Amino acid sequence: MNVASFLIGIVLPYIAVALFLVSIGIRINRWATSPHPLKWSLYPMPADYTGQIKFMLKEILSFRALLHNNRKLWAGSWLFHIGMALIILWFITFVLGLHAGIVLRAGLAFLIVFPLYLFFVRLASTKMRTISSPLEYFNLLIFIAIGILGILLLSFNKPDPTAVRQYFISLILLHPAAPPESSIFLSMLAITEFFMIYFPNSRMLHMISKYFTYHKISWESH
Amino acid sequence: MPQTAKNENIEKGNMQKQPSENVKNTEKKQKRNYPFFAIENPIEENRIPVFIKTMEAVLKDDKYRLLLDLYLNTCASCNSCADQCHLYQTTHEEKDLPAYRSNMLRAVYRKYFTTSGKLLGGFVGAKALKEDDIDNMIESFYRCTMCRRCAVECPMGVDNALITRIGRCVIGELNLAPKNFTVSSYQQLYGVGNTSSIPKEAFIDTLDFLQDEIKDMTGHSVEFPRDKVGAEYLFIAPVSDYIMEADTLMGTAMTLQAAGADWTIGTGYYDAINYGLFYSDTVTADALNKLLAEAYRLKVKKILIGECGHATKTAKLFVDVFGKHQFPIQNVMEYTAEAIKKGRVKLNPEVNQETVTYHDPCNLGRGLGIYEPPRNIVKAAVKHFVELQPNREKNYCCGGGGGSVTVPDMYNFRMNLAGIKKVEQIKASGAKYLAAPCANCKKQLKELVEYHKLPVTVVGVHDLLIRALLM
Repeated sequence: MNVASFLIGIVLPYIAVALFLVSIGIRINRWATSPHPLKWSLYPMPADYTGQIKFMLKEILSFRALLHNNRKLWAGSWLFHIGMALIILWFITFVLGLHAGIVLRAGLAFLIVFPLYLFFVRLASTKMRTISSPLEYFNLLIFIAIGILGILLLSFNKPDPTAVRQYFISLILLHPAAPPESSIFLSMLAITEFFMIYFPNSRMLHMISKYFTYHKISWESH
Repeated sequence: MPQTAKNENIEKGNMQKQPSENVKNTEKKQKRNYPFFAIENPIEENRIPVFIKTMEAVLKDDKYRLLLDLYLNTCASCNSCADQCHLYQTTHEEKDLPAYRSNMLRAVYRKYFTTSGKLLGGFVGAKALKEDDIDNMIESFYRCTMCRRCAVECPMGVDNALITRIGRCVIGELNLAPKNFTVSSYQQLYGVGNTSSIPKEAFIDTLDFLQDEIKDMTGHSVEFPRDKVGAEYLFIAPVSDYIMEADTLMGTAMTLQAAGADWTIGTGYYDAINYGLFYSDTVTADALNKLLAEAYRLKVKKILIGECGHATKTAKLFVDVFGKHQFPIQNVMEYTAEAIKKGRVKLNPEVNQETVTYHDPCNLGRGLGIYEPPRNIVKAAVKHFVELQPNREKNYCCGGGGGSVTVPDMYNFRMNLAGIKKVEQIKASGAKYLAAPCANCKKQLKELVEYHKLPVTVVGVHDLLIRALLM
């Protein structure tokens, strides 16, 4: 095992996961314990807890606001998020022993196609370009890079699935074994680790911040 | 206001000094030109450090920390807000994109208050503050009418109108607010006691006049009770109604009397207007506390606010944020709708045969959820009611929101840009009467109707009750 394999395959996974969880925890804690802000409620709002849950489910599952108002973006971002969900789903089932290769391939394809679509939608629209910093494009590029590396890995340098699974399990059991020998696999691992460290400190954390924009601001009735 | 960076807290003084005090300072120097609206005694020097200091104070303020932390970090730059904005839909100008406007503040936040912004600069949207940026912010933050239509449909739950308000508060600390706000608020807080500078004697004369007028018009003896200690309700309207909306006031007084309300007007303080909502927390708190003090003086149980959106919202939302006394706050829409429902007020809709439509003021609707009570009143009072399309939370701003209706320099802007969506909506309704329970909206709508020669009469909701009431 060379130095890169050791760092990327054995040390960094733990650091990345730890930073991922701790950073998210810090952000949640900061938002949850912030003093009550200036009242600024927005109507209509769900009348009760059930209504809130319904609203949230609708929003999370269908991206309701985008669906109703911005079809062009909705298609791209909804399928893009579905791609992420597919990858997570694949990872869980893979570790559990299922080999749902089609889920992985679909997920990876989605992570290339739809961020690329969003990238060009943003670039092509003057009004979206005006409000975008390079960061917006960079965030999309991270996903595209993950998708491309994944497809390359499966197409040209496919490691033995059993070895990959053994490696993941060894990480989970805190008994890390050497990662499969593949430079593409290592690159993909590295970029995923970067993503996990970067994610909680980026605006991609909107999956959590969004909860607070509604619950602590818009839905705080007078 | 001293010209040093002394703004430790946004709550500390951005009230204008009387004109004479700063004249010497500013006359010597080259005066900056503020083309969008007249400004009294703006800070001309050290604007950038004062701005950043103020922003720092806002970020430390418990009331704003979470809001800014969330809003400035959550926007995904999807531009959905642009499709909701009545102004952008008309102008298609960059500076009217809600997200672009918020980015002006966001760039400063990133540059001076985030590590990533300090290190990576423009890559993460951070930008050093320049003199021009401040001037651009003045215009952009005041072109936004703070109607919050964009907030309803933001996929991230971000409210760009609140960023506008915070932006206005920050530039307000540099005394960069429209002269009409600052001078009127000065009169309200330290001068005559109200934003229209109506002296108490003249105000009392007006109440007598309104009583006589009701008698002449309807034959009924209706009283405007004054300073009745221990009454259930202190009724307070935007003071401008006493100059411009006599029918609304007469209709309200008649309704209250018909409903058997135990109410009073305070002659110690009689202006519900609170321009602070549009540019300053200091003013918001001070004006609100003057209102609460009058209620306290008269030992009333509740405060009943007249046909005015921003005054109702400011009082309802901020009474427990800024208030030195606590009173339940009600809008007269809620009162009258309840009185009709309970059968305490009876109406004859036959007298109002023409088609009437209803405009949702943003502060009553999106701000407080008062969508149905005014509709129930109008429907009970008229024969034919039609909705504007779209309506309720999707209704378009009158085009004079955020206080811009009080700024004469913005007249052309309101008539030809901000109000255009509203004009289209009114035309499409085919209604003969347009009812709007908000002094701000009514003034703008009346001006729009006159300017665009629309075949519509703008009225308040209670105006419709003058003839419909069965007394």
